[in-house]
Amino acid sequence: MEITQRVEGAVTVVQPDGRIDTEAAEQLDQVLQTALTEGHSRIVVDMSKVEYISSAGLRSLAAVLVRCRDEGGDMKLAALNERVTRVFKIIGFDLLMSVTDTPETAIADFSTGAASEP
Amino acid sequence: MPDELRAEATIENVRRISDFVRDKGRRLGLPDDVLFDIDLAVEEASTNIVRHAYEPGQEGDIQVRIEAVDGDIRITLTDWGQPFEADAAYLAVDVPVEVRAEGGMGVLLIHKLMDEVTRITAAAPGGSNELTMVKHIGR
Repeated sequence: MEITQRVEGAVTVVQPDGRIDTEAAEQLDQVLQTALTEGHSRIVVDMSKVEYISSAGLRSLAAVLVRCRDEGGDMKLAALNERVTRVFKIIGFDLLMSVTDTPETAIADFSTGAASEP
Repeated sequence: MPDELRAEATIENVRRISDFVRDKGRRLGLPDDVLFDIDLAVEEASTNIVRHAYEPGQEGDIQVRIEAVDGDIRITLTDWGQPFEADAAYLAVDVPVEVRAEGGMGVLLIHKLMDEVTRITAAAPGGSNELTMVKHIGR
């Protein structure tokens, strides 16, 4: 899976491209954990190119979210497709983390200090 | 006519099983939404078998069988390891999401995405455990 990463001000935007299955989840986890280790605790995950996610990916996102908040930051997700949104709702992840329609909104939420939980 | 694939129970082969099921589903002309649900349920169930059915270092197989029966899609996953009997524990509705994230998300997804989930566990060690998942199509 291709994962791109860019920095916008104080926010790191990570964009995975493709299916986040068990194997790809390990790759995504590495990228996110490395960003955290490098001091980037304000993270937006742009999900616009993610067509599929399984529980391994969800587990990684939950762990990264906790670590971001422990370090005074947060992680926000953006642009989930309908099927991924349904998976999030089944597990209750829509209550755990902020989900916005676009990455730009998520980035803006960081600068305005919008509440971390919906 | 059912299609079957049997492979060693490894994480690498979970992707192979997923590809096999998606390919068969496409050939059956399944709608994308149905394909997504089946795909995810199969990955979750296969991953659970790979991680929990066999002891560390113990080799074992996983088999997937997919067939269209009377307007249903029926998928059976078979292993020859330790039976998995904990579905109920993971399906409680009042589990906080933080706890759910620690384990049990896969089982919950399987039950929510598929219409029928049945387990037949081995009567004796070394026997086969079968997980059958059914998705109703067009009802």
